[in-house]
Amino acid sequence: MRFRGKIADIGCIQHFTRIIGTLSKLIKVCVLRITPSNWYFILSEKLVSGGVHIWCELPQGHFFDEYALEGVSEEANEIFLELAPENLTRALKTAQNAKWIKIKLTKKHSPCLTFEVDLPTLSSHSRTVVHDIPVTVIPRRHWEDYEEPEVPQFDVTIAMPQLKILKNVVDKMKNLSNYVILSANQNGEMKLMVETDMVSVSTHFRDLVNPVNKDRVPSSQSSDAPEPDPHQFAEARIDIRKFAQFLTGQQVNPTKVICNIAKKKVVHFFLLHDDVSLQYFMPVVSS
Amino acid sequence: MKCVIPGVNIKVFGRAIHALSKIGEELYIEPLAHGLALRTVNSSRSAYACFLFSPTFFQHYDDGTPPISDQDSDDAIRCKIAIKSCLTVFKSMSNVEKTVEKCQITLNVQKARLVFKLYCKHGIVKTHNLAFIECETLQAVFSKDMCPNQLTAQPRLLCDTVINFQSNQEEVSLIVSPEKITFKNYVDDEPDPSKVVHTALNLDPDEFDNCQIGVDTDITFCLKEFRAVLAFAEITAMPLNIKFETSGRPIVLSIDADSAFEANFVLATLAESHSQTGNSSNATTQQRTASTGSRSYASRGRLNRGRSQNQSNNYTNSNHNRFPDRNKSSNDADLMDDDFDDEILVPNIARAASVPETNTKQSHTGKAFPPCSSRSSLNTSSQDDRPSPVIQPTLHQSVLEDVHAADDDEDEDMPVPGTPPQKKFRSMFFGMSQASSAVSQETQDQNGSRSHRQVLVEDTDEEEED
Repeated sequence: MRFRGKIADIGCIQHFTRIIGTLSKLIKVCVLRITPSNWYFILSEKLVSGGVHIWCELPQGHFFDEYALEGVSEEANEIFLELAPENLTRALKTAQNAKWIKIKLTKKHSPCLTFEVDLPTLSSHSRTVVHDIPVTVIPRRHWEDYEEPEVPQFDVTIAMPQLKILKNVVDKMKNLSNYVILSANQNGEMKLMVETDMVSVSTHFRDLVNPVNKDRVPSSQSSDAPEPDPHQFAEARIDIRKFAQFLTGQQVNPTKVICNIAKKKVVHFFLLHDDVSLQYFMPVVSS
Repeated sequence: MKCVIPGVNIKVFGRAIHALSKIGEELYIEPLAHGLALRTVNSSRSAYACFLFSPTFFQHYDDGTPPISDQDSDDAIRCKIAIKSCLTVFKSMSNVEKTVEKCQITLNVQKARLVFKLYCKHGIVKTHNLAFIECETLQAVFSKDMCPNQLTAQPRLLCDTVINFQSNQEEVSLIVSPEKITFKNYVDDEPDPSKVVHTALNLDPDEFDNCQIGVDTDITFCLKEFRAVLAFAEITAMPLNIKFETSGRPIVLSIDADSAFEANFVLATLAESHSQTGNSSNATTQQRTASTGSRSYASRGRLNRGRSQNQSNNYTNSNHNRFPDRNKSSNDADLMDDDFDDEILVPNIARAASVPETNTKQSHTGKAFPPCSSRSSLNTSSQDDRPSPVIQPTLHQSVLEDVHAADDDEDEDMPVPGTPPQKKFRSMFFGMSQASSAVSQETQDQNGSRSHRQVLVEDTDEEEED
């Protein structure tokens, strides 16, 4: 098992840092899957511990100038590592003006993902800092636990309003209740609602776009099902804290954020920024 | 004492207070003929800072000693104040720098107040009257001249280095050889070192203004205080001199601004292993104790109790009625440094408890540099509550239980249960003593260890009866 990569472009370093930063705000420990073409950050929580799934996909060619991978075997040319994204963020903290970052899989006191950062100096000397981030190598028999989550049939697909606006709304609602009801229809309307014994607050968004469903986001409009009413709202009750955390942690400004709702099952947020995509599956909580 | 700081120097003075506040909780002020000394020591007594502002730093300087009296008289007033109260005077430095035209500091003995008067723009005068406590001189014993390893660096270089370490990192190791200078984060045995990020940064000796490495070594010291020093150094933009020997010996950081002021910071370094430092230092400390010494305080003895107890006792002695929490914090520090966790069993505790006895005996013969933990030779620690009418031990109940014994001068040798065992940071700078378990073992052997174990049990019982 070998891996080494080098990021030399300052823009790539900063973009990479922001993505890792977003992830570290969302999760404490995740799995990094390294394949010849992509880096994946994966979280798959068991249902008992919340059931959140995160699937973040980074095409390596987008970031790395050098990339060498030797996986477990010829036919399974991949590496699965468990690590804390927070540690990556810390390692990247001083890398914002670095000339390059080398990332290597090493065996030191324990298996490590070593970040070697060439720091900028005023003098002609090169100054490198080395961070050895402990990782756990995941044996092949457990790989199947970290497959891309199955995307269910969604009832509604809608492009979200600006996350910053949503964040402000949700942060206020957070004080009222532990759950928020997120609902949307195929007519470009979206609604956030909290209900308590005392009060019911809802915020409505209009004139949003309902993207046409493509292969990645299958819709409920299969040929045999009757065409649903576009004004019909699909509701999902979700944990407001998790939702707020998701909105707060955003450091990349995604070009597109799509929200898919599968009634009584799951809410799926799909963030797209250049080639990087992040999928966040939040299970619906029954009332 | 009366002095006036001109506007241009207020920035440095204020930043000095900020640096001191990041190290200790009390500010010791001593007007001397050759300048105003500001000193502090941190709660675990592993870091000491001293600023000496020479008379040329001030627009006007009067140290307040009567001109006729002999120089040796102890009449000069030395005082200490809570650093937090002093910090409020210079709270917003950007504001102070902009508006204050001069700052007058006077010691009002009649009213027992230290008065800071800030003369601001537009004729505004801000006066801060700070209550102080009279105390003895705080003086660390260290030497800068004999160190085989000396580095001089621009603060920028070290700041850029330190920023690479995580903010919650406690200690940093400095590994030097003539070829390269390496900073590493120090990873303790707990939590599991394989679960912790290891960070290392290499610097080329050419990056330093001066790099003299006489002995290849590896020293570990606290990052928090180091950061405070660097923050100050960066403001003054003056090169920082770093002098050190080997692990277990103090590292001295100094800034020397030609004639205007001088700043020295002494940080304890981690002893490599608990038995290693003892043998060599044993002899020297013994000699020291024999050759020095002038006055003896009854309280000295209780300071010389085992390292483990010493610390919390010091605290209670000097601070009981004001900062009961500090006791706790110092204990925490002990826990952090404690390297005996896994091996400590009853016999070891007994050994630890026997240390104080022997040390106490020694210290009755010689005073200035008691052989035990160096922090005991910190002059103030035992005595600063006696000249002061302000603090009397009144709030015993508020402090941890261990304290009861400490307040009683008579039962000096009573071990304090519940206090942490020996510290790794044993080689403090004060008194140059590196007494360690080796010393204790040796002395213990001389005196017969079994009896001491007995003593431990008895004393503990006595205390419980209290």
